[in-house]
Amino acid sequence: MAYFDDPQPVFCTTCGRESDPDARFCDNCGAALDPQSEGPQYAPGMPYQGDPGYGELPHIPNYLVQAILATICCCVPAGVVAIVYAAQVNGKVAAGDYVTAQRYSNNAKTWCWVALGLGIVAAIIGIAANVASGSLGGF
Amino acid sequence: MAVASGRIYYESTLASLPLWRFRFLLLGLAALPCLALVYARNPGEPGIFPLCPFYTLTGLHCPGCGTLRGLHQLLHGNLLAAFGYNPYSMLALPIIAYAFLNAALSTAWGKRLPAPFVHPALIWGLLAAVLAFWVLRNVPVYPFPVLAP
Repeated sequence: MAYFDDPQPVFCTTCGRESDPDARFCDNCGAALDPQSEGPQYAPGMPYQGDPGYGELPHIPNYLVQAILATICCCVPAGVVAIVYAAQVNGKVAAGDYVTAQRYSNNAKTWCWVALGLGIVAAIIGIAANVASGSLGGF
Repeated sequence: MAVASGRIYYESTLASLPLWRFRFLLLGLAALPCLALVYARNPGEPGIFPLCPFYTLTGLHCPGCGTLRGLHQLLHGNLLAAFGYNPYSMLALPIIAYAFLNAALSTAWGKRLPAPFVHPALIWGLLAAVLAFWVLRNVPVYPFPVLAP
């Protein structure tokens, strides 16, 4: 993610092994690590090359449409929980708290899958109940 | 899963299929015969369509009840009758279709349709509306049965 200033892993140009972001020599072969591989280097007077995440909100999915779909045809209670998380995702994105927004996004995604799973189970039970009661005839 | 130079790489067999990027388009193609079936057979009559599991178990209408019957009316051009069966799913239908198109285009060709940022208050409002719809369409006092399928 370009939005957080996470230290990027450094790869040795000699042997390819990954080293600690702040290492100056390769753990594996001892070769000097290329400082250029740590990312773009800026110097005064250089033309601005653009920041990958500049000027736009990070795209953190809120799974709102999947949640709506879940309340219509999968499993209503799980879909309702997913809508709650979708609202919280956008609330945290609006507040600039992208770390928490990402956590709520993961929860929303999980609950959409739970809704689908429970929906499939409920559909099987429902069809069985319909067939048993005779309300589901043939063609 | 392959282990190379001490690092573990996961290779999803599904995602490595050449047609994987067209999965939403294929899903859309698979939906066409289902829509043809909903067009040809009325879900309001006993037959091949199963009843809602929630309705079967509780006797109460869920927010999605009436969607199939509404879809049948919509495919026959009866917009008013479609809304009568389930206004919520009919309003959600264009949003779902747009999101599906967006998913299909972005996974197949990397093209993203404009997706506006939805204000959180709007989503909380939707939550309240869905819960209210769920309860009110089961109230047997006029005018609430209008909301029932």
